[in-house]
Amino acid sequence: MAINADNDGRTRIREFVQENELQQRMLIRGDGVGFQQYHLKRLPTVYFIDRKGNVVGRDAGYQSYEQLEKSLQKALK
Amino acid sequence: MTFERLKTHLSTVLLASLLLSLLQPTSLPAQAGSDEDDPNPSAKAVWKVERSRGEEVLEFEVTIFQIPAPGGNRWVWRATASNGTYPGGFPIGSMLIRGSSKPRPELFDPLSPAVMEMLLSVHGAGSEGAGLGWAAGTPVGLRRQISVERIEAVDDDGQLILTGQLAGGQIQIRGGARALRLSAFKETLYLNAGGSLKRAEWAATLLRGDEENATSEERSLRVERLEAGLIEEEESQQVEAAYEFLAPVVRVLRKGMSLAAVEMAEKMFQKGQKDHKKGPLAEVVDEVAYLLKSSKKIASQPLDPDVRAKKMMGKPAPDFSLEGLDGKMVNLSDFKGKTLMVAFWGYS
Repeated sequence: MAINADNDGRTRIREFVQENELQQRMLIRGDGVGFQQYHLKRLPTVYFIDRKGNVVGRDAGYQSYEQLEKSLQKALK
Repeated sequence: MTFERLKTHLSTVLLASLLLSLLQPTSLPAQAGSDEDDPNPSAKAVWKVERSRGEEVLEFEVTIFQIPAPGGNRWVWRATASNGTYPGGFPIGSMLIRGSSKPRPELFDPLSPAVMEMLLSVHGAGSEGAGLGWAAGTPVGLRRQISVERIEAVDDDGQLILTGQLAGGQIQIRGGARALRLSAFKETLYLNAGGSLKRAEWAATLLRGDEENATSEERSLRVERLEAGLIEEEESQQVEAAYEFLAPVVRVLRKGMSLAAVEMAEKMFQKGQKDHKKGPLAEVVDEVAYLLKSSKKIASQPLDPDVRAKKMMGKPAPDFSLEGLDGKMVNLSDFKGKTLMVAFWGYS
């Protein structure tokens, strides 16, 4: 899922989703969750959560597709 | 009252009286500035505010106190959204109004820009006369003077209705790659027979790039005065004292979230909070107490988010509940048993 952590308006988010043809579940107004619960420093930041619900990885800043896949494989183990 | 007369009225009436018109329930004195009239009375007004940008709508009420301050007066306000939170993150704001100079924000306004802009432009109308309009476009978040053509009408109750429309077609607000044009602008002001503002509405449509029809953004701001009146000296003094007490605490909290800063604010707060537990700003005192508590919790953590994040590894992911783009609420716990990639993103 993707969470907008920048308090952008729905209209802007919708534009972004359409322009990039995003398929993820998009959540809005995530700045509180992002900065207080998930300790964001840079955007985007991707967290990986395993089947048990534990945090197993975090990629901060822009990442290559390969890097994200590597982290995801780790989380799937 | 005709518009021409209102214009003269506004330009001759002192600034303070215009503020009064924002606050006072009854009409302005016919001749402002006579000896008996206090130009800076202590007063209180409650306004209902509805602001929208695209599909985002924010509704709240703002209570403004006008109290004496060195060389003029001070507006102290608090705002509460319908869900009980305060828009902007800080429970109290203020600005200092001295003579005809520009009002100076003191405690940065917690109202997130639109209402501050509305207050300032209503205020600015007094010093500039009604020429460019009360709004001049700023209440819809445009930092630009907008010329409006104005039509006046008087309804059966003697209420003056001023309707302003964008003079001559579109206006380019911003050029370049992210061009922005204003295609429609409308302001409607409702003033009672005495020239006191009762209700105001602003709406603007913005076009991005070279689009022909507005698909992207509509902005509006509606304000309505729910109540207003002079307050007794005792209440005014209570507001003043509570403000003097709260302002430095809030100022420190705003400046930094370092543990030392929060502890300093806490120290100042504990000294006098009992004295202000009751009275007109009692709720603000409670809110500042809560703000201090939560700020301390955050400030006690390591500063670097990356360091804090390391502590999360291998531990249960904190649950949350957020609204989806489709309006439905989504909980992290809804996805139990699945491997998840959670991406936080933003435009900037």
